[in-house]
Amino acid sequence: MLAPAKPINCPLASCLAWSACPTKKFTNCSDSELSLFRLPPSAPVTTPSTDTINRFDLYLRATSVLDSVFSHSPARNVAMPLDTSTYSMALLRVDGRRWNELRRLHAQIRTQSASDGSSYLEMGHTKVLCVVTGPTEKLASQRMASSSSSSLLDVNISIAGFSSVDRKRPSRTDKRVSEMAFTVQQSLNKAVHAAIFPNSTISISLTVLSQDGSLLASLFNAATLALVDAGIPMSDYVTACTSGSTSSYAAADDAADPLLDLNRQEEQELPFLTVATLGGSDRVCALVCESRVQVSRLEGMLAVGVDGCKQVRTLLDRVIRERGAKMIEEGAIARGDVVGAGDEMDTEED
Amino acid sequence: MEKGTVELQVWHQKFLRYLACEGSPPAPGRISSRDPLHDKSSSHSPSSGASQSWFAIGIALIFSSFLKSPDKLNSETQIPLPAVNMPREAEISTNEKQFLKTALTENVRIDGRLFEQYRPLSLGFGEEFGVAEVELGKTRILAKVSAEVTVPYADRPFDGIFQIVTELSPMVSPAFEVNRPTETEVLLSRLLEKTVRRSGALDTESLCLMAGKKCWAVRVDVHVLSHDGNLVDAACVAVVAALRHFRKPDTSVEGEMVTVYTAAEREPTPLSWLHSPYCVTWSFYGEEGEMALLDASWKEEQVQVASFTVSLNRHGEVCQIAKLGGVAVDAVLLLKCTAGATVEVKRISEMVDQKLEEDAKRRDKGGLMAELRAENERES
Amino acid sequence: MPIIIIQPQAVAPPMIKDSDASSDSSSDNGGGADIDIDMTGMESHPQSGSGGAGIVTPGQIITTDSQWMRGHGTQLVNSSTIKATVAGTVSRTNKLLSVSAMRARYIPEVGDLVVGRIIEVQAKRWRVDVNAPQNAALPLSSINLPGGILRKRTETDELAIRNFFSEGDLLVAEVQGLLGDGGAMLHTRSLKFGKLRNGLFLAVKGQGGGHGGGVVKSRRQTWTIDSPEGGGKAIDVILGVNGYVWIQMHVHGEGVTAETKVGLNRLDEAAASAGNVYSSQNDRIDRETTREIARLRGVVTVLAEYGLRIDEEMVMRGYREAVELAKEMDAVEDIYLGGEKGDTLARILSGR
Repeated sequence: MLAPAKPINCPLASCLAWSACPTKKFTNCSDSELSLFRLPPSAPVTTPSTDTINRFDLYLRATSVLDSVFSHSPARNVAMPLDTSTYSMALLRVDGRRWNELRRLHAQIRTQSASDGSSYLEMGHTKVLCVVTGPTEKLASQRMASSSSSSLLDVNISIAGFSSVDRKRPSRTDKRVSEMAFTVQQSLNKAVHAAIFPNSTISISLTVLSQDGSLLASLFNAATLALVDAGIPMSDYVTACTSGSTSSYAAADDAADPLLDLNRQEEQELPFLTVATLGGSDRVCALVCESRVQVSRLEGMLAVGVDGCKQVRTLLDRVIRERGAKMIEEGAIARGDVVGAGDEMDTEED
Repeated sequence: MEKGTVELQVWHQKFLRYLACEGSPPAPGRISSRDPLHDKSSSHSPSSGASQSWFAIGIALIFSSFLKSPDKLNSETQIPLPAVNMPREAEISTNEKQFLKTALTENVRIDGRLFEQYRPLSLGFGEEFGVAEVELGKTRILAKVSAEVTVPYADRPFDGIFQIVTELSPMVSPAFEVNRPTETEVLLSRLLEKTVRRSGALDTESLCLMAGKKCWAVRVDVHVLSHDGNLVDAACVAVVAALRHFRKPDTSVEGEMVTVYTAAEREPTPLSWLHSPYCVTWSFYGEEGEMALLDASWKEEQVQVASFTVSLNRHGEVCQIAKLGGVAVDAVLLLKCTAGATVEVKRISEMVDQKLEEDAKRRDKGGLMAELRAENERES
Repeated sequence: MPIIIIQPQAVAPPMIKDSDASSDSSSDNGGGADIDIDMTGMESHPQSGSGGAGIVTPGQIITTDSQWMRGHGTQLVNSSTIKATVAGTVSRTNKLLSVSAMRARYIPEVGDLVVGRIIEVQAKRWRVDVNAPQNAALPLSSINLPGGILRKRTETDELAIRNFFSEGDLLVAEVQGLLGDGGAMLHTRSLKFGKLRNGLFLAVKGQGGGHGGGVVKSRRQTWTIDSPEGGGKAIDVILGVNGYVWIQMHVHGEGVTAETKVGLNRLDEAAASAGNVYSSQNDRIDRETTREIARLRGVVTVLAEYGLRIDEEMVMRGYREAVELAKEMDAVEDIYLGGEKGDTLARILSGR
């Protein structure tokens, strides 16, 4: 039922301090404690998204049992406080996720017919809409303004006033927003093959419809999808997610666990960072942390974040592929050629 | 526009006040004969008159930049300048870029430093409290702290107001314009904000005088006097040093009455400081950003493929991390850079502590301070 | 604030079953289907019929075999590995591998028939928006000058440049050449090309260049419908390869179809009427013709909306079906093709 545990191949994970992982607590659990939650044979078992070391088995079994128990009980609707004691017992977070679980990621491409490329992305309750226009000719003013950085991309972020709990008047000069736009622009700029489009510009407009944590990460993912939809050549997907730590900055808390994909409530209480990687590799495009955290926590958080980016890449890739398969089915685009060694097949198009 | 004028007036007044303290404004001839920018020995010898005149020039420079601003604004509002006329700084040439990159692959930095070596960092304080000037190579930053009593924000009645304002004026480079924040300026101010303000280095609750009614508003003005790369690290040291050096007037609260004492009446008190975060910036070179350099100069910054700023205090707490795009760099290298930064932060931290101590000793002539402090305690 | 608990992993379980870090395997597995184009040997994998058939996505390895050359939409890493840079299908021309994007902006190629719009008048040329990464240039020397088809341009022409085309004018032209940076040079030195009037403009956005629906490059980009429904005048349809479409009332001896009918010996006559070529005045268009132009517009819009191929065959089939559809519904007057009718039309045309 469970995927066999594999050793980690990720070079980063090898240097990860696994003392920080939640398994530690469960290794102390006696078998009788676990048998309280004996899994009914028919219950669905969800495997974790990452295979880690052997002692994880125990932890996984326990949590998936817990998960299925919770999903059938009315207690699921009760909000669990973000209390470390609760956490370490159930190993579930406020929204019922485990430490290494992403929220539901839903994405669509080609949502705006008038644009060259567009996407809609939900990471949990964070909802972002992205529209790509271009490449188009650079205006004379743009050409002057960006001659030094010679940037192909132009990123605009608008955050809807209704997007968060408190209604906020959107401000044009919010430095936090311009910093985010800068980060997205600078990261994607290096991924996009800019040399193909001299004297051109591609404008990326991001609209935030709802905020529930991991905002910068969602912006990254939505922009990447829209760029792929617009057919802009890029070396790989740039995907992002957040990771946090259950430790507070003050305590040298050895029992702290890394967490993946934080929601708003967790972001407010826990230190977290946003990681964006290129093509789900270990290479980090952007790394942003705005909270105080012990430097020793960083390694674990980064490893979990990089791993989360890999998962996000798989999900985004699936969105693109599904769309492509649909188009082939409809006959909108021709099937691709097989790259064989010497066989002569008809080439359907040039 | 209005804000600019008000600021101008404030500065003007401060300048006059400053001159009044000094006795007479520095004669132009004196300035030119004693070039303080290249006279390092005199600029940091605390007791010599050179430091005073040097400081006056610093203020005068800032003042002159403000003088220019109203004209500039007028010309902007009335005749919109075409973008073509925008003054731009000459970019580094393609050939030089290539040279720099090749040199780095040979493990050579153009100024002969090691990859993990800072340029000489020096810190000086003004005669007034809360003024710090940092020199990092040829990068020069001046930070000035001021405080006034105001009404706190309605949503935070128990907190004082703490603000960091950055200014990159055309005196640094023609590419910077007054009142039009460039990307560099926005990023610099955000980094300082995250490093110092968000990390809670200053206890803003201690700035509250009377809940919901009166509080201190502490403002740090960061002025870049010359830009030769790595503004962030230098600016951060300047801000932290200036805030720790600053003394706000002592106050007492009786019922609804807040009394602010002058320096003559009561010895001013330092701010309630919790921890000192410092920024360390790495810049990356090479196809995959595999080479990491500490403290890049302006030339090197123009060639870099990515940069990574991490803010830490000496207890090993990360306050902020910013790798805002650029070429993707291996995560392990980033971790190594963070580890390197912790060492560097300890060094900077010690340096700042030592300089602050020296300055305090210099001011404390014959134990006068201790006496005054004791007097304060008796009175309160 | 109540906390909404999200069912974990209910919709899309994020799973990396294969954590093999040595290759780009995650992208290959992501599609669900076993479409493995990765050639780590000399054998070829047959494509499976379902799932992500034939779609490659950015960063995916197409081949590691050094015999292939990289074309558009690919990048070369480590001297022999070819990776895709766009999402689309692989196409192969001898030893050249390229990936054509599912959708991309129009990239000009020599010989393309394009519909464009003048956006800037410069000293000796016009800048034309052709929906490409850069604006195209139309030099004064590349248009038909009035009063003789093969005449040298004079200074008078330069001064009167706005009399030929001014900002906002639409024109149909051919891509004559490409500049080093990818910018296109246009020409209208044929009676087929020139200023457009008496009609309706339509942009099939983001689908130009023949990738993924949109206007497909074909033998005939322009044609005339001699006797449209309702007894109106003949109608010309111009499908610019760049995704811009123009539908106009046919004026005898003029416009896109002129040269196919007027022989070379009629040049004099053509030259004589050339003064009229740069007119911006619309002729009187009767109601029947206007209605059919609008119907054709509806057909093209449906084709674009449902991601179907746009070429002469599809447009004409669509037009006939639309006429039939209107008749069936017993409302000949009703030419509206939105909503359910659009659905029906698209279904008929896509053969499903």
